[in-house]
Amino acid sequence: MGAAFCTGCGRPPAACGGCARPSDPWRYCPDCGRWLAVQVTPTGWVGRCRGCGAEHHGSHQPPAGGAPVTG
Amino acid sequence: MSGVATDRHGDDPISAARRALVDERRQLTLDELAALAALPDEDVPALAEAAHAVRVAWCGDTVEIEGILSAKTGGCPEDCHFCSQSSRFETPVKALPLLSDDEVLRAARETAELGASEFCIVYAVRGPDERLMAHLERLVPLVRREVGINVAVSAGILTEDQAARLRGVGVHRYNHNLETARSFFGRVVTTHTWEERFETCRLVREHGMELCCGVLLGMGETDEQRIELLGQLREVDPAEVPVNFLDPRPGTPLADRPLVAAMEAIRWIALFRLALPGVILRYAGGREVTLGDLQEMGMTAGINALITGNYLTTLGRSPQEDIVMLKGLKMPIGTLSKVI
Repeated sequence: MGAAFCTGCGRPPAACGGCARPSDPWRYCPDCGRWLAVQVTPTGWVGRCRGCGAEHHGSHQPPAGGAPVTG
Repeated sequence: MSGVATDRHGDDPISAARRALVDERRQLTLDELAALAALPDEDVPALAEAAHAVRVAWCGDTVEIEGILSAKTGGCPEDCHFCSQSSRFETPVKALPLLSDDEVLRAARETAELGASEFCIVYAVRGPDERLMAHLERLVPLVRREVGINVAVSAGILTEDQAARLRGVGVHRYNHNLETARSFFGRVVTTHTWEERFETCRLVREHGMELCCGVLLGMGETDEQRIELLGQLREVDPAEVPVNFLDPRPGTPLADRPLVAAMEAIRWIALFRLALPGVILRYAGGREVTLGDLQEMGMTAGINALITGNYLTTLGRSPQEDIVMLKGLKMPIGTLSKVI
């Protein structure tokens, strides 16, 4: 996805081989690596960055082999 | 069917279980269930088929859909070793404030639009304090009135007075999981006891709410402890049993546990149905990562309800995938109650 930071652990790509799981919403901001305040609902999730203020959102697990639905 | 002993009718154990439950309407003993649990893997499809026949005979073919919402996430003082919301573990799930009434109403409406008849509002707390009770006494009637959906609540350990008050404001079902067998509970929770959970389950029923009492498989419990749990579930007599499979959470003490194998999961879904023929047996957390493409098989192994969409802190598959699955299985969506 070309993110500057891993959404699973908040580390730079060079320090993380990709620990984010399809069954998890993003937990760290891909732009600044800070923690996201994440609210999950039955139909989606929204994460607000405590660092840069960016808002990210998504819906569900992708179908097998599909790309995550996030933004 | 593998070469195993037969009963006085000449039936193998699976056929004997089916006859007992479908023809004689007799509950299986724990010894009979233990014998079924010990059958070889090659017998699991036949076990699942028998469980499905029992489900249809006792409950019909209707499937109940529910959505769940974490209205107070993280910061829980308890130390349930499987849970990413405990404040005692370093997990990526951090505490959030209580959701507003509008946020809960929005989620309830979205849940109803998915075809769900049940909406469960969940709080990561040991038990409700007076502030949370006041919140629930305002919120539950509001959701029922505005959305017209059955409202379930999960807010931890209750006192007798709290159980009466929740019933009084229209809580349809109260969720309080035993999670695991009494003999294993102390290995995964130390901040409260199995007996405290059992007592809350008793209060829920005593005060006229339906009891939703779930389990979590895959924490390291033995087959014997799963059979023990089935006996203990019979004692609390729930209307609904959500079956969760451990999805190991980073930062928790159970983070490194392996997933339950898919066919083992199917075996235990079938055994839960054979042990608890009249309950609403619901697919819950961990089904996607545990079962993958075998989720449809679980629906024909005893399951007759599901949590659709996302879970409390993790993502489920799209509700549309569940709808397509149910249409393919020709299972209608509706409301269910426990069969006595």
